[in-house]
Amino acid sequence: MMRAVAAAMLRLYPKAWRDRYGEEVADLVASRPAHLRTVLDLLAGAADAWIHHRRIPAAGPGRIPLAAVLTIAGTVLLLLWNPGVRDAASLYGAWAEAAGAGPLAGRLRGMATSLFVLSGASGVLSVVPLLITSHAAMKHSAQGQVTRMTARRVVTTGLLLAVPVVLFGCFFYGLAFAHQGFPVGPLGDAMTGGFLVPIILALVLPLPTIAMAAPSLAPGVRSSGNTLAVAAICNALAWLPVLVLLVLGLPKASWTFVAAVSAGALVSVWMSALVARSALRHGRTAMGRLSPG
Amino acid sequence: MAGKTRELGRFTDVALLVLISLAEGQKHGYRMIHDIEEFSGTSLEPGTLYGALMRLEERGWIEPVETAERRKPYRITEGGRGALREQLATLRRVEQAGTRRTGVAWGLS
Repeated sequence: MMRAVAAAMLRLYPKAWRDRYGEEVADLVASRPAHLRTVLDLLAGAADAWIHHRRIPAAGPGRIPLAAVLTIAGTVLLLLWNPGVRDAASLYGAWAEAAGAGPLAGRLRGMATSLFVLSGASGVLSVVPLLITSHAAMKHSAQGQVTRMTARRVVTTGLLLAVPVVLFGCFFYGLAFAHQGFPVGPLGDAMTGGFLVPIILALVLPLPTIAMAAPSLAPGVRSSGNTLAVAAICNALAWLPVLVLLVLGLPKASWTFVAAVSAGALVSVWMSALVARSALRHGRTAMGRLSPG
Repeated sequence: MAGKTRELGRFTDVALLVLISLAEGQKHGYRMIHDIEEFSGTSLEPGTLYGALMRLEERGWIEPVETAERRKPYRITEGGRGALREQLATLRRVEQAGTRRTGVAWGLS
Protein backbone atom coordinates (compact mmCIF):
# COMPACT_ATOMS: atom_id res chain seq x y z
CA MET A 1 0.00 0.00 0.00
CA MET A 2 2.69 2.48 1.09
CA ARG A 3 4.82 1.46 -1.90
CA ALA A 4 1.95 2.29 -4.27
CA VAL A 5 1.53 5.69 -2.58
CA ALA A 6 5.29 6.30 -2.85
CA ALA A 7 5.22 5.36 -6.55
CA ALA A 8 2.28 7.71 -7.08
CA MET A 9 4.36 10.56 -5.58
CA LEU A 10 6.59 10.40 -8.68
CA ARG A 11 3.73 11.87 -10.72
CA LEU A 12 4.12 15.06 -8.74
CA TYR A 13 7.62 15.67 -10.13
CA PRO A 14 8.14 17.90 -13.19
CA LYS A 15 8.06 16.08 -16.52
CA ALA A 16 11.72 16.87 -17.26
CA TRP A 17 12.69 15.27 -13.94
CA ARG A 18 10.52 12.21 -14.62
CA ASP A 19 12.02 11.83 -18.08
CA ARG A 20 15.51 11.95 -16.60
CA TYR A 21 15.22 10.08 -13.28
CA GLY A 22 11.65 8.71 -13.15
CA GLU A 23 12.41 5.15 -14.21
CA GLU A 24 15.42 4.83 -11.89
CA VAL A 25 13.54 6.13 -8.87
CA ALA A 26 10.48 4.00 -9.66
CA ASP A 27 12.78 0.97 -9.73
CA LEU A 28 14.36 2.05 -6.44
CA VAL A 29 10.96 2.51 -4.79
CA ALA A 30 9.84 -0.90 -6.06
CA SER A 31 12.91 -2.69 -4.72
CA ARG A 32 13.03 -1.25 -1.18
CA PRO A 33 10.64 -1.22 1.75
CA ALA A 34 8.46 1.91 1.60
CA HIS A 35 7.48 3.78 4.76
CA LEU A 36 5.64 6.99 5.52
CA ARG A 37 8.99 8.79 5.60
CA THR A 38 9.67 7.51 2.04
CA VAL A 39 6.42 9.12 0.86
CA LEU A 40 7.16 12.38 2.70
CA ASP A 41 10.73 12.39 1.36
CA LEU A 42 9.47 11.98 -2.22
CA LEU A 43 6.88 14.71 -1.63
CA ALA A 44 9.60 17.09 -0.42
CA GLY A 45 11.76 15.99 -3.38
CA ALA A 46 8.95 16.86 -5.81
CA ALA A 47 8.59 20.34 -4.30
CA ASP A 48 12.37 20.76 -4.50
CA ALA A 49 12.41 19.63 -8.16
CA TRP A 50 9.72 22.18 -9.05
CA ILE A 51 11.48 24.98 -7.16
CA HIS A 52 14.87 24.13 -8.73
CA HIS A 53 13.50 23.13 -12.12
CA ARG A 54 16.44 24.71 -13.93
CA ARG A 55 18.87 22.39 -12.20
CA ILE A 56 17.39 19.31 -13.84
CA PRO A 57 19.90 18.19 -16.50
CA ALA A 58 18.59 18.86 -20.04
CA ALA A 59 15.47 20.56 -18.67
CA GLY A 60 13.89 23.11 -20.96
CA PRO A 61 12.18 26.22 -19.62
CA GLY A 62 9.76 25.35 -16.80
CA ARG A 63 6.20 24.81 -17.96
CA ILE A 64 3.15 25.06 -15.77
CA PRO A 65 0.81 22.10 -16.44
CA LEU A 66 -2.17 23.01 -18.66
CA ALA A 67 -4.61 21.74 -16.02
CA ALA A 68 -3.19 24.26 -13.51
CA VAL A 69 -3.32 27.09 -16.07
CA LEU A 70 -6.95 26.29 -16.94
CA THR A 71 -7.91 26.01 -13.25
CA ILE A 72 -6.39 29.43 -12.54
CA ALA A 73 -7.98 30.96 -15.66
CA GLY A 74 -11.39 29.50 -14.72
CA THR A 75 -11.10 30.88 -11.19
CA VAL A 76 -10.11 34.30 -12.55
CA LEU A 77 -13.15 34.23 -14.87
CA LEU A 78 -15.50 33.48 -11.97
CA LEU A 79 -13.86 36.22 -9.89
CA LEU A 80 -14.22 38.70 -12.78
CA TRP A 81 -17.79 37.64 -13.49
CA ASN A 82 -18.94 38.93 -10.12
CA PRO A 83 -17.88 42.59 -10.52
CA GLY A 84 -18.56 42.23 -14.27
CA VAL A 85 -22.27 41.53 -13.96
CA ARG A 86 -23.07 42.88 -10.51
CA ASP A 87 -22.51 46.55 -11.22
CA ALA A 88 -26.21 47.24 -11.69
CA ALA A 89 -25.79 50.96 -12.46
CA SER A 90 -23.30 50.28 -15.26
CA LEU A 91 -25.20 47.27 -16.60
CA TYR A 92 -28.52 49.07 -16.92
CA GLY A 93 -27.00 52.45 -17.78
CA ALA A 94 -24.81 51.04 -20.56
CA TRP A 95 -27.71 48.99 -21.93
CA ALA A 96 -30.04 52.02 -21.93
CA GLU A 97 -27.38 54.06 -23.74
CA ALA A 98 -26.77 51.27 -26.30
CA ALA A 99 -30.50 50.69 -26.79
CA GLY A 100 -30.80 54.37 -27.71
CA ALA A 101 -28.93 53.53 -30.91
CA GLY A 102 -31.98 51.61 -32.16
CA PRO A 103 -32.79 47.92 -32.73
CA LEU A 104 -29.08 47.14 -33.19
CA ALA A 105 -28.64 46.63 -29.43
CA GLY A 106 -31.30 43.91 -29.32
CA ARG A 107 -29.77 42.14 -32.32
CA LEU A 108 -26.29 42.31 -30.79
CA ARG A 109 -27.58 40.89 -27.53
CA GLY A 110 -29.32 38.02 -29.33
CA MET A 111 -26.21 37.34 -31.39
CA ALA A 112 -23.97 37.19 -28.31
CA THR A 113 -26.31 34.92 -26.37
CA SER A 114 -26.81 32.58 -29.34
CA LEU A 115 -23.07 32.30 -30.00
CA PHE A 116 -22.31 31.57 -26.34
CA VAL A 117 -25.02 28.89 -26.28
CA LEU A 118 -23.66 27.44 -29.54
CA SER A 119 -20.16 27.45 -28.09
CA GLY A 120 -21.17 25.66 -24.87
CA ALA A 121 -23.35 23.16 -26.73
CA SER A 122 -20.57 22.42 -29.26
CA GLY A 123 -18.16 21.87 -26.40
CA VAL A 124 -20.42 19.32 -24.72
CA LEU A 125 -21.36 17.63 -28.01
CA SER A 126 -17.70 17.42 -29.05
CA VAL A 127 -17.10 14.53 -26.66
CA VAL A 128 -20.37 12.65 -27.19
CA PRO A 129 -19.12 10.60 -30.21
CA LEU A 130 -15.93 9.85 -28.26
CA LEU A 131 -17.95 8.64 -25.27
CA ILE A 132 -20.16 6.47 -27.48
CA THR A 133 -17.11 4.93 -29.23
CA SER A 134 -15.37 4.41 -25.87
CA HIS A 135 -18.47 2.80 -24.36
CA ALA A 136 -18.63 0.38 -27.28
CA ALA A 137 -14.86 -0.29 -27.17
CA MET A 138 -14.75 -1.10 -23.45
CA LYS A 139 -17.28 -3.90 -23.94
CA HIS A 140 -15.78 -5.27 -27.14
CA SER A 141 -13.57 -8.23 -26.32
CA ALA A 142 -11.87 -8.02 -29.76
CA GLN A 143 -10.26 -4.72 -28.72
CA GLY A 144 -6.81 -4.79 -27.13
CA GLN A 145 -6.37 -4.41 -23.39
CA VAL A 146 -4.95 -0.88 -23.72
CA THR A 147 -7.95 0.23 -25.78
CA ARG A 148 -10.44 -1.28 -23.34
CA MET A 149 -8.71 0.22 -20.31
CA THR A 150 -8.43 3.63 -21.96
CA ALA A 151 -12.06 3.47 -23.09
CA ARG A 152 -13.10 2.62 -19.52
CA ARG A 153 -11.13 5.59 -18.18
CA VAL A 154 -12.77 7.86 -20.78
CA VAL A 155 -16.27 6.73 -19.81
CA THR A 156 -15.59 6.92 -16.05
CA THR A 157 -14.03 10.38 -16.34
CA GLY A 158 -16.93 11.44 -18.58
CA LEU A 159 -19.44 10.38 -15.92
CA LEU A 160 -17.52 12.23 -13.20
CA LEU A 161 -17.16 15.40 -15.28
CA ALA A 162 -20.82 15.32 -16.31
CA VAL A 163 -21.73 16.63 -12.83
CA PRO A 164 -19.79 19.96 -12.99
CA VAL A 165 -20.61 20.38 -16.70
CA VAL A 166 -24.35 20.06 -16.01
CA LEU A 167 -24.04 22.37 -12.99
CA PHE A 168 -22.32 25.09 -15.02
CA GLY A 169 -24.81 24.55 -17.88
CA CYS A 170 -27.77 24.97 -15.49
CA PHE A 171 -26.06 27.98 -13.93
CA PHE A 172 -25.69 29.58 -17.38
CA TYR A 173 -29.30 28.81 -18.33
CA GLY A 174 -30.64 30.07 -15.01
CA LEU A 175 -28.76 33.37 -15.21
CA ALA A 176 -29.13 34.14 -18.92
CA PHE A 177 -32.60 32.77 -19.68
CA ALA A 178 -34.56 32.09 -16.48
CA HIS A 179 -33.54 35.40 -14.84
CA GLN A 180 -32.55 33.74 -11.61
CA GLY A 181 -30.11 35.24 -9.16
CA PHE A 182 -29.04 38.87 -9.21
CA PRO A 183 -30.94 40.84 -11.91
CA VAL A 184 -28.36 41.70 -14.56
CA GLY A 185 -30.52 43.09 -17.34
CA PRO A 186 -30.11 42.44 -21.07
CA LEU A 187 -26.40 43.34 -21.13
CA GLY A 188 -25.63 40.97 -18.25
CA ASP A 189 -27.65 38.21 -19.95
CA ALA A 190 -25.64 38.74 -23.13
CA MET A 191 -22.23 38.40 -21.48
CA THR A 192 -22.86 35.74 -18.79
CA GLY A 193 -22.05 32.91 -21.19
CA GLY A 194 -18.59 34.33 -21.83
CA PHE A 195 -17.66 33.82 -18.19
CA LEU A 196 -19.03 30.27 -17.94
CA VAL A 197 -18.63 28.60 -21.34
CA PRO A 198 -14.78 28.43 -21.31
CA ILE A 199 -15.01 26.55 -18.01
CA ILE A 200 -17.36 24.02 -19.65
CA LEU A 201 -14.92 23.65 -22.57
CA ALA A 202 -12.03 23.09 -20.14
CA LEU A 203 -14.06 20.48 -18.24
CA VAL A 204 -14.53 18.29 -21.33
CA LEU A 205 -10.87 18.50 -22.40
CA PRO A 206 -9.68 15.57 -20.18
CA LEU A 207 -11.70 13.13 -22.31
CA PRO A 208 -9.75 13.50 -25.61
CA THR A 209 -6.58 13.81 -23.50
CA ILE A 210 -7.19 10.37 -21.99
CA ALA A 211 -8.52 8.84 -25.22
CA MET A 212 -5.39 9.68 -27.22
CA ALA A 213 -3.59 6.77 -25.49
CA ALA A 214 -5.62 4.28 -27.57
CA PRO A 215 -4.96 4.36 -31.34
CA SER A 216 -8.42 3.02 -32.19
CA LEU A 217 -9.99 6.07 -30.50
CA ALA A 218 -7.86 8.47 -32.57
CA PRO A 219 -10.62 9.49 -35.06
CA GLY A 220 -12.85 10.39 -32.10
CA VAL A 221 -10.04 12.43 -30.53
CA ARG A 222 -9.49 14.34 -33.77
CA SER A 223 -13.20 14.98 -34.24
CA SER A 224 -13.42 16.18 -30.62
CA GLY A 225 -10.50 18.57 -31.20
CA ASN A 226 -12.09 20.02 -34.34
CA THR A 227 -15.44 20.59 -32.63
CA LEU A 228 -13.77 22.14 -29.58
CA ALA A 229 -11.93 24.52 -31.93
CA VAL A 230 -15.29 25.55 -33.44
CA ALA A 231 -16.62 26.06 -29.90
CA ALA A 232 -13.64 28.28 -29.04
CA ILE A 233 -14.17 30.35 -32.21
CA CYS A 234 -17.88 30.79 -31.35
CA ASN A 235 -16.90 31.92 -27.84
CA ALA A 236 -14.46 34.49 -29.25
CA LEU A 237 -17.01 35.72 -31.82
CA ALA A 238 -19.70 36.01 -29.12
CA TRP A 239 -17.61 38.57 -27.25
CA LEU A 240 -17.60 40.93 -30.27
CA PRO A 241 -21.28 41.99 -29.99
CA VAL A 242 -20.82 42.31 -26.20
CA LEU A 243 -17.88 44.65 -26.73
CA VAL A 244 -19.82 46.67 -29.32
CA LEU A 245 -22.65 47.04 -26.76
CA LEU A 246 -20.09 48.08 -24.18
CA VAL A 247 -18.64 50.73 -26.53
CA LEU A 248 -22.12 52.04 -27.33
CA GLY A 249 -22.95 52.28 -23.62
CA LEU A 250 -19.54 53.49 -22.52
CA PRO A 251 -20.69 56.93 -21.27
CA LYS A 252 -22.88 55.25 -18.63
CA ALA A 253 -20.42 52.55 -17.57
CA SER A 254 -17.99 52.84 -14.68
CA TRP A 255 -14.29 52.24 -15.40
CA THR A 256 -14.19 49.27 -13.01
CA PHE A 257 -17.09 47.67 -14.90
CA VAL A 258 -15.38 48.25 -18.27
CA ALA A 259 -12.08 46.91 -16.90
CA ALA A 260 -13.75 43.78 -15.43
CA VAL A 261 -15.66 42.99 -18.63
CA SER A 262 -12.62 43.65 -20.87
CA ALA A 263 -10.38 41.48 -18.67
CA GLY A 264 -13.13 38.83 -18.59
CA ALA A 265 -13.32 38.86 -22.40
CA LEU A 266 -9.55 38.49 -22.74
CA VAL A 267 -9.32 35.63 -20.23
CA SER A 268 -12.38 33.93 -21.74
CA VAL A 269 -10.99 34.02 -25.31
CA TRP A 270 -7.50 33.01 -24.16
CA MET A 271 -8.80 30.13 -22.06
CA SER A 272 -11.01 28.71 -24.81
CA ALA A 273 -8.13 29.11 -27.31
CA LEU A 274 -5.86 27.12 -24.96
CA VAL A 275 -8.46 24.35 -24.76
CA ALA A 276 -8.88 24.31 -28.55
CA ARG A 277 -5.13 24.31 -29.22
CA SER A 278 -4.58 21.44 -26.80
CA ALA A 279 -7.48 19.42 -28.23
CA LEU A 280 -6.28 19.97 -31.81
CA ARG A 281 -2.76 18.85 -30.83
CA HIS A 282 -4.17 15.72 -29.22
CA GLY A 283 -6.06 14.99 -32.45
CA ARG A 284 -2.93 15.42 -34.58
CA THR A 285 -0.80 13.31 -32.20
CA ALA A 286 -3.41 10.54 -32.03
CA MET A 287 -3.82 10.41 -35.81
CA GLY A 288 -0.03 10.49 -36.22
CA ARG A 289 0.26 7.38 -34.05
CA LEU A 290 -2.47 5.69 -36.09
CA SER A 291 -0.61 6.11 -39.38
CA PRO A 292 3.13 6.35 -38.72
CA GLY A 293 5.28 7.54 -41.61
CA MET B 1 34.63 25.38 -5.35
CA ALA B 2 33.69 26.32 -1.80
CA GLY B 3 30.98 28.62 -3.16
CA LYS B 4 29.62 25.82 -5.33
CA THR B 5 29.52 23.50 -2.31
CA ARG B 6 27.61 26.08 -0.28
CA GLU B 7 24.99 26.25 -3.08
CA LEU B 8 24.13 22.60 -2.41
CA GLY B 9 22.18 23.80 0.64
CA ARG B 10 20.60 21.04 2.71
CA PHE B 11 22.01 18.50 0.23
CA THR B 12 25.66 19.30 1.14
CA ASP B 13 26.06 16.37 3.55
CA VAL B 14 24.23 13.94 1.25
CA ALA B 15 26.33 15.11 -1.73
CA LEU B 16 29.50 14.43 0.23
CA LEU B 17 28.30 10.92 1.08
CA VAL B 18 27.44 10.27 -2.58
CA LEU B 19 30.87 11.50 -3.74
CA ILE B 20 32.60 9.26 -1.16
CA SER B 21 30.48 6.31 -2.29
CA LEU B 22 31.28 6.87 -5.96
CA ALA B 23 34.97 7.50 -5.28
CA GLU B 24 35.57 3.73 -5.17
CA GLY B 25 33.69 3.03 -8.40
CA GLN B 26 30.46 3.56 -10.34
CA LYS B 27 27.18 2.65 -8.66
CA HIS B 28 23.46 2.94 -9.30
CA GLY B 29 21.01 4.45 -6.80
CA TYR B 30 20.14 1.20 -5.03
CA ARG B 31 23.80 0.28 -4.41
CA MET B 32 24.61 3.85 -3.37
CA ILE B 33 21.94 3.77 -0.65
CA HIS B 34 23.27 0.46 0.72
CA ASP B 35 26.90 1.57 0.53
CA ILE B 36 26.21 4.89 2.27
CA GLU B 37 24.25 3.15 5.00
CA GLU B 38 27.11 0.71 5.47
CA PHE B 39 29.96 3.21 5.80
CA SER B 40 28.12 6.11 7.46
CA GLY B 41 25.03 4.66 9.11
CA THR B 42 22.91 7.18 7.22
CA SER B 43 19.76 5.73 5.69
CA LEU B 44 18.85 7.78 2.62
CA GLU B 45 15.43 7.87 1.02
CA PRO B 46 15.06 8.07 -2.80
CA GLY B 47 13.83 11.70 -2.89
CA THR B 48 16.85 12.96 -0.95
CA LEU B 49 19.33 10.82 -2.88
CA TYR B 50 18.07 11.99 -6.28
CA GLY B 51 17.88 15.62 -5.11
CA ALA B 52 21.62 15.35 -4.41
CA LEU B 53 22.35 13.43 -7.64
CA MET B 54 20.54 16.14 -9.65
CA ARG B 55 22.72 18.85 -8.09
CA LEU B 56 25.96 16.87 -8.46
CA GLU B 57 25.18 16.12 -12.10
CA GLU B 58 24.33 19.76 -12.76
CA ARG B 59 27.76 20.78 -11.39
CA GLY B 60 29.49 18.11 -13.47
CA TRP B 61 30.84 16.33 -10.36
CA ILE B 62 29.19 13.05 -11.34
CA GLU B 63 27.93 11.69 -14.67
CA PRO B 64 25.63 8.86 -15.72
CA VAL B 65 27.20 5.82 -17.32
CA GLU B 66 25.54 4.70 -20.55
CA THR B 67 24.04 1.27 -20.06
CA ALA B 68 21.29 -0.88 -21.51
CA GLU B 69 20.20 -1.87 -18.00
CA ARG B 70 17.25 -0.29 -16.27
CA ARG B 71 19.36 0.81 -13.30
CA LYS B 72 21.61 3.61 -14.49
CA PRO B 73 25.01 3.76 -12.74
CA TYR B 74 26.79 7.04 -11.97
CA ARG B 75 30.51 7.73 -11.76
CA ILE B 76 32.49 10.54 -10.20
CA THR B 77 34.27 12.98 -12.56
CA GLU B 78 37.66 14.65 -12.11
CA GLY B 79 35.85 17.80 -10.98
CA GLY B 80 33.96 15.70 -8.46
CA ARG B 81 37.19 14.18 -7.13
CA GLY B 82 38.64 17.68 -6.70
CA ALA B 83 35.52 18.83 -4.85
CA LEU B 84 35.61 15.72 -2.65
CA ARG B 85 39.30 16.25 -1.79
CA GLU B 86 38.57 19.87 -0.85
CA GLN B 87 35.60 18.94 1.34
CA LEU B 88 37.54 16.18 3.08
CA ALA B 89 40.43 18.60 3.72
CA THR B 90 37.94 21.05 5.26
CA LEU B 91 36.50 18.28 7.43
CA ARG B 92 40.02 17.30 8.56
CA ARG B 93 40.71 20.90 9.58
CA VAL B 94 37.41 21.01 11.45
CA GLU B 95 38.15 17.67 13.11
CA GLN B 96 41.66 18.81 14.15
CA ALA B 97 40.35 22.10 15.52
CA GLY B 98 37.62 20.27 17.38
CA THR B 99 40.02 17.72 18.86
CA ARG B 100 42.46 20.45 19.89
CA ARG B 101 39.83 22.61 21.53
CA THR B 102 37.92 19.84 23.29
CA GLY B 103 41.29 18.44 24.41
CA VAL B 104 42.13 21.81 25.99
CA ALA B 105 38.71 22.08 27.56
CA TRP B 106 38.89 18.55 28.99
CA GLY B 107 42.55 18.94 30.07
CA LEU B 108 43.82 16.18 27.75
CA SER B 109 46.46 18.13 25.83
